[in-house]
Amino acid sequence: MSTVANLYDNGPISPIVKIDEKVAIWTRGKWDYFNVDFIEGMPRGSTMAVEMITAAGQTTLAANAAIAKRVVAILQLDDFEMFHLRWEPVDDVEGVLWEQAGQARFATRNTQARVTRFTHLRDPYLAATTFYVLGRDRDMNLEVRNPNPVAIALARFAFWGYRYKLTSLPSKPPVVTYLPAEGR
Amino acid sequence: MGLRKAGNQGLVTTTAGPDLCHAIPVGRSFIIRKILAYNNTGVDETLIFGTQTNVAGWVPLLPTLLAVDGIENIWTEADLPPVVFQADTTAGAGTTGNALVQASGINLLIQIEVEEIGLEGD
Repeated sequence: MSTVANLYDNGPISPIVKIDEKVAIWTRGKWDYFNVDFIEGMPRGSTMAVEMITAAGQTTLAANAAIAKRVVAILQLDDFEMFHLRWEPVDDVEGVLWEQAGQARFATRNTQARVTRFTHLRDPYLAATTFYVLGRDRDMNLEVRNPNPVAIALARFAFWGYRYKLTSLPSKPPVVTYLPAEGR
Repeated sequence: MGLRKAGNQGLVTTTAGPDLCHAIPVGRSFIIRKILAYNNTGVDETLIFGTQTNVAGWVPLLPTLLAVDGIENIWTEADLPPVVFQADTTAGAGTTGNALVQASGINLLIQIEVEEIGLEGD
């Protein structure tokens, strides 16, 4: 098994492979093999950000309240595409990552890590926030929590990283980079 | 190293009673880093920042500040001791940790900046 590199390197985000290299992605409980046909950057910006209060059809998020996990439409893909992203809240809210609606990410048996406005203070490139979205209808879900004892009007989250275009391979290639994209 | 933000009660007009400037989030503590006070009352006024007990008793935490009449009074990080506002422990058990201002007069306009420290230990 080749070395897994760049997945969570504590530096600026960079592609985990080069174009025309092979990846093995842990999905649906097994390794699936793909050729990487194309990679492009998805820089942080106004169209790679979402305001979750509006997205949830609310006008404010009450003190210490939460927005139930919901799909973030800007991160939805077609089949044979993969997002490789990092993220953070722009406002003082906490983000909880779910893989689709049922699988907690950044989670152990007893806790689930949240990404907050404090996260970047010790992880300046937000490497530990790295996650992947593979293909259509395998969306990420984002739950939002307001830790403040006052209502807030904005709960913005920014995302950035890379989009990969993939071709499925029928069998394991001789050289491959392994990517544990799913949490199960 | 924490999260800098304006007091979450916004612009506060004093009532000469303890007036809430920043309500503490659960699991966090904070330090007041900046105080702006505009005094247009016609006389100099005093300000004391502190917290309250859970039964609304007054607990001063910073020394008295003099808000001179007719100007904006500004105290910054260089002027302010880093008193940590924290539920239960700053001034003993039973305190809210919220930041309030006790002004000697009404109608001063106050805004504070705080640095919040989270559960993450930052």
